[in-house]
Amino acid sequence: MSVTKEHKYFSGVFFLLVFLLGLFSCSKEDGMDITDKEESPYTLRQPALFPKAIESAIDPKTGLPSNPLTKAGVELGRRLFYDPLLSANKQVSCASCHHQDKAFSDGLALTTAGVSGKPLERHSPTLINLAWTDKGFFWDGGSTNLESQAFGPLTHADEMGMYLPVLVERLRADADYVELFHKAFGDLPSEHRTAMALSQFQRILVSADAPYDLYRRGEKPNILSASQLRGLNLVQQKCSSCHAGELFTDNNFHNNGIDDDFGDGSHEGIYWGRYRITYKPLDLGAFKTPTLRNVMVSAPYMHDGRFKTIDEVLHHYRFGIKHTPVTAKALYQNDGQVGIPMTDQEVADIKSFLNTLTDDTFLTNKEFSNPFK
Amino acid sequence: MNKLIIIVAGLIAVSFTSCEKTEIKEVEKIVYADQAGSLSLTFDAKYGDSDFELNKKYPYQLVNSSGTYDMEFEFSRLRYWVSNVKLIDKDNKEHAIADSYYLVEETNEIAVQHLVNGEKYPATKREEVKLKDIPLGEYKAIKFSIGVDQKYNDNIALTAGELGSLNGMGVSDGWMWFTSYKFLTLAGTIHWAAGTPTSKALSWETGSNALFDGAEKTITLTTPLKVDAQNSGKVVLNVDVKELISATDLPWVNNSISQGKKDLMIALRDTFLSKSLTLKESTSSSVKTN
Repeated sequence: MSVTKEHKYFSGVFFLLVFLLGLFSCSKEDGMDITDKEESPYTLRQPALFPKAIESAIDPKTGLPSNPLTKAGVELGRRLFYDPLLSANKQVSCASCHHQDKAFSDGLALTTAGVSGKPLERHSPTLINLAWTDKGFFWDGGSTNLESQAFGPLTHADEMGMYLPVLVERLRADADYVELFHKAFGDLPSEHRTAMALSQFQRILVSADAPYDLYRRGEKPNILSASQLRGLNLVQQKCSSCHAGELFTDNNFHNNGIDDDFGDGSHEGIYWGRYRITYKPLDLGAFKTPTLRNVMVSAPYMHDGRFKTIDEVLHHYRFGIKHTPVTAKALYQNDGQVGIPMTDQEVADIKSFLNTLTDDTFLTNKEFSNPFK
Repeated sequence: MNKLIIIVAGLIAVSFTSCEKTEIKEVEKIVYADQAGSLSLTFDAKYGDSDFELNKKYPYQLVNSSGTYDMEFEFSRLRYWVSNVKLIDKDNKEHAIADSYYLVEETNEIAVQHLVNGEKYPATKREEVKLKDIPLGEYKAIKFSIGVDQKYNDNIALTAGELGSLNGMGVSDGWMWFTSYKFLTLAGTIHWAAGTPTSKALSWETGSNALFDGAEKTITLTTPLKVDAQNSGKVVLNVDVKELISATDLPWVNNSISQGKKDLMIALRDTFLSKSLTLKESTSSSVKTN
């Protein structure tokens, strides 16, 4: 029951009449419905063994999650995700830098696919199991939730460069979007509903059907080879302090020793990593742990895409970690030596295992793909 | 009227039982015209004894441990969120004004940072906030905060009052990479008169959840304010920008205040609350009724 607030100051009697009429209209046929918003909820997949998914933030007005998944909301979000209408020059969509076949990363170190054509400061991250991401978005966690995150790429001059009032104008001029927003939210298109719909779509991007999962859930107990099983053990021993649990990430921020100079405070502190958000000295150069899921299809690696291959990454953890006062403690051995010791055979087994985290179902799921095609 | 309300209540009960699918999520509070009034809250910006104007040089004499210096300040923007307004009645009862989030601002045109098509946020001056739906009564104080409380500050997709990304602090002057509204900004140019004349940009900002605690101001009214359908209230506050500059005795060095300088952000907030903001006048005046 929603009644527009403008009526509040007019005659109470009139208000009550409208109120009563609204109450008595139970069916759609009588045409008295104030909104025909479709309430059909979308049930987020909750894979066995995963922790419980995070709800959207509580709406202070209702005490309920502010952005519950609905079928109409998810479908609208999917369309918006793939629509270049959301960028200043109408040529860049979210999907320009988030390709499904690369687990929604883009295969580039620093993309130039934005409206300005200038390289971005950060590598496009994968979009996997975001409904379990509980410590912030972006490589430095600056965005508290998916809804707020959406405004970053939408408005950034080198990404989609969108002036939000113009976005709202465009969406409201499009009869299809007017209808889709109405179905999803009972509202006209708006910038905050756009962010909500995009978030709904991104929350359903669940990856939990890789060979590893089939093994883990006992659906195909023999699917992993001997080398892959050894690799699984090694990853649990050597990598799981950050790439933890079934999500293969702790969603936290660590300095993994790829740099030893954090003096450059330009670009609003972008080279400082997590420090520019928290201003805690130990967060200097700390970036979010990416999931290992689909890691073999989402090269290059690191927040700036500096490592082209998984071999370069493993080589870094074996031999290349820089010792600084802010390098993560987990990267040191008991004898104080920095680095994760691995033999060549162990590296081969780990790589072999990482292939079992490639989830072809996720990478080809039609529900996640471009609705305009 | 009472009878009518009883009938309505009865009908609501009937409709609950008669119609399975009817869901009432929120029954709006019905406020009748004869039970509520309005209040105007004005933030009158000034510079010492002068009116506050943008793009005008104001003298500022800096006195600190190393001496006395003549400077000039020229402003391009003053903006802040006023939120969580509460009225205190004569029995010390607090009446919170729902959805009270207001952007008070005086700004030159702002070239939007991500301008690809040259969009601009227009020059804007807004000093008056109109509070509606105020229960009739006599009020002796008014409380509000400068900034946005965490539940909204942590999610810029939520809307309440004037909060929302289309507003000034979001679209043209926001921290999109860091979920937080800017609570207060003062921008312009500092001119240094001594020695070689030179100038420097002034950019002072506060924000973040940690700073919302302690961002509340209570203004005690000199005479109680009567608000009802016949009398609307008017409260005018002085906002002295000259006092705000005294947040630091090294404004030339600290010409930029933002997230990285928490102590200075706190000093800026506290100076605004304790020195800049003062009561100018409060009056009740009769209004015409329909």
